[in-house]
Amino acid sequence: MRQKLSSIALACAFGLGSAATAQAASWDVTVTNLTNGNYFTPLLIASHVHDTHMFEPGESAATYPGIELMAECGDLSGLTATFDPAMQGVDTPNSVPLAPGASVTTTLTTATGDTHLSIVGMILPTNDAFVGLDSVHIDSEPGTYTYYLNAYDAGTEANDELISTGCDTSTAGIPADPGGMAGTGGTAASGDDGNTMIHIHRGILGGASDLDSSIHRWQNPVARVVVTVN
Amino acid sequence: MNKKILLKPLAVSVSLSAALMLSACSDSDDEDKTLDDFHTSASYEITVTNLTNGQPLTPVAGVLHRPGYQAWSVGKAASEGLEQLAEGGATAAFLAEADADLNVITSGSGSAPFGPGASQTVALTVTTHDQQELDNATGQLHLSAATMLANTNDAFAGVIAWDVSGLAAGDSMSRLLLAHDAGTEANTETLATMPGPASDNNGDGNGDGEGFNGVRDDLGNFVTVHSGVVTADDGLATSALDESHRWLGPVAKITIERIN
Repeated sequence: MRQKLSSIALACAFGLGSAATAQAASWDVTVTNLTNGNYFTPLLIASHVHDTHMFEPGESAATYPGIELMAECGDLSGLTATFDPAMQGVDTPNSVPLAPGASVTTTLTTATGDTHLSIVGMILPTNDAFVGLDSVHIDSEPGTYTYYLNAYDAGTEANDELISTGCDTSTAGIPADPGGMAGTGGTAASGDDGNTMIHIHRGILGGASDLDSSIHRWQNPVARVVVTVN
Repeated sequence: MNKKILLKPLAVSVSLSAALMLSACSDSDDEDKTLDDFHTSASYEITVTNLTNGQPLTPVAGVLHRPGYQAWSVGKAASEGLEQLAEGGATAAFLAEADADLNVITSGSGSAPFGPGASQTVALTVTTHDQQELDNATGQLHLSAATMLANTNDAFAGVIAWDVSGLAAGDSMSRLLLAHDAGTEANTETLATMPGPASDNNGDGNGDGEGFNGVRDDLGNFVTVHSGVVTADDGLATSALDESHRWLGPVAKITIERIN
């Protein structure tokens, strides 16, 4: 979190009070899975200073270490090196995949200077789709604030829509379908990423692939986030 | 470019105060100075990032304006300028319509299409005679912008009358843009009807389908949020598109930054 310290220092140096003087706060954050047949792997939810990002649409996943591993394998270990759940204002509230229609809530005690919220988690069964909230400003005024989240494509893996065994970032494949509705032995969707930056996911094709177009498709938004500032 | 930017704000203010200023300066030693020397300005950069997987975006048309200019309305028929932009990516008619509106302060466009993952920046400057006029203009500033999804019949991404009046120098704001359907052309997705590279039929990498055509043959002659492309991979056999051209919801991110 070197970023956090440096931006506070900068804000002080320029006499910009708002970011530096944001007091520690308590936020209840509830994430609801709005999809029909997709699961969210353990979500990483973090408060942070205004100029920090877990990811940014239009940027390469390589710019944000840990995004590729999260999006392809549901593995947060690359991201938690920076956004450590042991720190104030960071949490991974669901240890098992969050099912369609289900919600999970965490209470974040933000660190001084934290004004923004980010969330990521892989969407299963997909190759490299993730649900994301990129650094939104949370008002300091007590109240309830609602956000709707889109599904992003990390741009790091072809969307072949084939269930594979295990997961590593060097081979394409979907590590699992927690809902057990995917098939096996399908024909790969053509699937190559025409956009290798982080972008809005074009959705599931289904059909001849291992995925079922009547179960695994979604429309944006795919998640609702309700933040209650206490 | 500068001339064009200067024209509108000056035209408004000439009648009020420029005459006085001019006569004042002709009495002084500033004989070399022209009207253009007596101004102050705020410059903005409008950046659009292509967040689709397979849709090149055509040059961005950007318009800075006061409230009252309406580039399009969902549920109402598109102007011919918007039709030309949404079917063929041409910005001239769209910007000419904007420039004819008294509420428009300045407008401009990018010069080339840009692909998935790429960005395009359009720089626009609001120029007025003095700080008070500038504060008045920037204090009610709105942004409208549009760009075509090239591998479609008449899909465009855009924003209408986004309030950007709160920006101080160095500030920026961002939002995601939905794809809209201009409602001016049937969504056949055939090779002959889309101008983007998906309609390349001679291997040169450029599209060979038709762009603008004045016939309005969509289901309804009005702007809607676009329902997306079906594509041949998803069962529309006559479509020249494949699964890579699909999108869901937002297709681009737009950022406006006030430079000074």
